[in-house]
Amino acid sequence: MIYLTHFRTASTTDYELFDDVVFPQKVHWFPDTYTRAKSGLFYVPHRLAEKVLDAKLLAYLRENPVGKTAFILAGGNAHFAGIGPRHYDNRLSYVYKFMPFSLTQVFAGRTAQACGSMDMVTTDASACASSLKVMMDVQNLIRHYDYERVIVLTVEDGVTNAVLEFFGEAKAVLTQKQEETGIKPSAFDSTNFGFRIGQGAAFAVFESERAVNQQNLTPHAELLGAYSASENSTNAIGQCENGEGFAKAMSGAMHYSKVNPEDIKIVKAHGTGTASNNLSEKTALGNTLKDFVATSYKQKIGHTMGSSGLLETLLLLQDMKSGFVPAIENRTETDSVYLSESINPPEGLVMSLAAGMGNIYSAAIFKGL
Amino acid sequence: MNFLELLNAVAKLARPIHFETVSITEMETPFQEIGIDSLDGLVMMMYLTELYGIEEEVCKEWSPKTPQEMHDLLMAHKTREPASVEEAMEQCK
Repeated sequence: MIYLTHFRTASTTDYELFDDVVFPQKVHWFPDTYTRAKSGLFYVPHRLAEKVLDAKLLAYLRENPVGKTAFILAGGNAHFAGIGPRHYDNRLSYVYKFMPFSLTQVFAGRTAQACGSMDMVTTDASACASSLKVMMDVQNLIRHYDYERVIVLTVEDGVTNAVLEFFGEAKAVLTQKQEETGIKPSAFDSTNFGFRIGQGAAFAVFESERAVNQQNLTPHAELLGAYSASENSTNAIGQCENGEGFAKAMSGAMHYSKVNPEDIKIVKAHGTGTASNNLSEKTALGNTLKDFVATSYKQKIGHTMGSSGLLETLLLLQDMKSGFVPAIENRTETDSVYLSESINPPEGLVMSLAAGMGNIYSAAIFKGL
Repeated sequence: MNFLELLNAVAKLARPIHFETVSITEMETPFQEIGIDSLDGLVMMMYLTELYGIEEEVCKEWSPKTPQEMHDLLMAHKTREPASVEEAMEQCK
C-alpha cells in the first residue's frame, strides 16, 4: 500500500492584469516571488519552491530515514531550466546569474539533500501532466523497487513572458479583451471558458505501509494506482475529441488500482475550459465512469502548469477533509455532475486527471483517509 | 567592516537551509577545508560581487581559493562597498 503522509501547497486566488505582454491577460501570481528577480540573484521557481519547503518537515525527513528513498522534481515544462524569460523588456524580464542552479536536475539534487540521504534523485518534464504523471513513478518505485519513501516536489513558474506569449498565441488563455466582454474562466460550460495562468508549487511525501507503521503516522490518503498514456494524434499540442488519451489513462489507473468505474465517485478534472479539453475530457469521463461528480481548481488558482495535477489533488483532499467538494467556478448552468454548486463529499474514491502538451494524459486514484 | 563577518553572513545565506553553519575564522584557510563546496562558493561570489558593484563580465573568470583571495579580488575591482554587514544583508533580501 502507498500512503500520502505529508504535504504542503502554495497557490493563490489573487490575480493581476498583465497588460505589458503581447496578449494582455489576468494571471494568478505571488508578486513577492519576483522581488529582486531582476538582479539575477533570485530565480522565481526557486522562490516558489521555498514556499513549500517547510524547514521543520525537511528536518523530520532527514532525522527519520525509513529505507530506500527517492526524490522527484516534477518541473513541468522547460521553463524551469536555462536563463530567465527575457523575450522583451517588461516586469517579467530577468537573467539568472547562477546557471548551475537553474538546471532542473541540479536544483533537484541540491533540494533533495535537504530531505536526507537519497537512493535516487530524478526530474520529470511531462508538461502540464508532470506532477500527476510522477504518481506512476511513485507507484512503481514503492511497489516494484522496494522504495519506502518517495518525495515529490513540483514547482513551475507559469507567469513568464514565454508562457504568456505561447498560450496567448495558442488562444488557450483568456485574454484581457475576452474578459472585458464578460467571459470568466470556467470549464464544461456553454458560456464561460478558458483559464488564467498561475504560479503554484506542492511538496508531497509518499510512503510504504511499512514506513508508515515504523513512524506510527496517520496518513492523509492512500494512492491506489496511477497511469499515463498517449493517444493516436497528429497534433502534438492538441487533444483528440474522442477523449482517447484521457480514457486510456483512466482505464490504466483503475486497472492498476484494482477498482471498477463505479468505485470512482469524485473526479478532479484537468478542466482547462478550452473547447478542446471540454470536449475530450467530458467524452472520456462519460464513456469511462458510471456515477461521479467532477470539479476543477484552475478557475480558482489559475493553471499552475506542471504543478497543477498534484497541487489540485492535494487541495481537493484538503477541501474534502473540510467537508466539501467545491463547485467549478463560473458555471452558468445548473449541473450536478460537473458541479455548479459545492456538495458534501460522496463516499468513494477520487480520480485526478491531468493532460500535457506533447500528447500525455495522466490519471491517479486516491482514497481519502 | 569586518570582512570575515560579512563572509560568514553571506555563507549562511548562500548555503542550503539544512547545511550546518560554517565558521570562517581564518583568511588563509581554503574554502574547501571550511566545508564550502564549489556551488556554495559560486553563489557566495555572486552575492559579494553584487554587493561590491562588480560586473559579471569582470568576475566570471575568478576562482578564489581562500577568503583572502576573495577579499583581494573584491577590493581590486569594487565600485561600491556596503557600510555594514547589516546593510549588506538587507541588500541581499
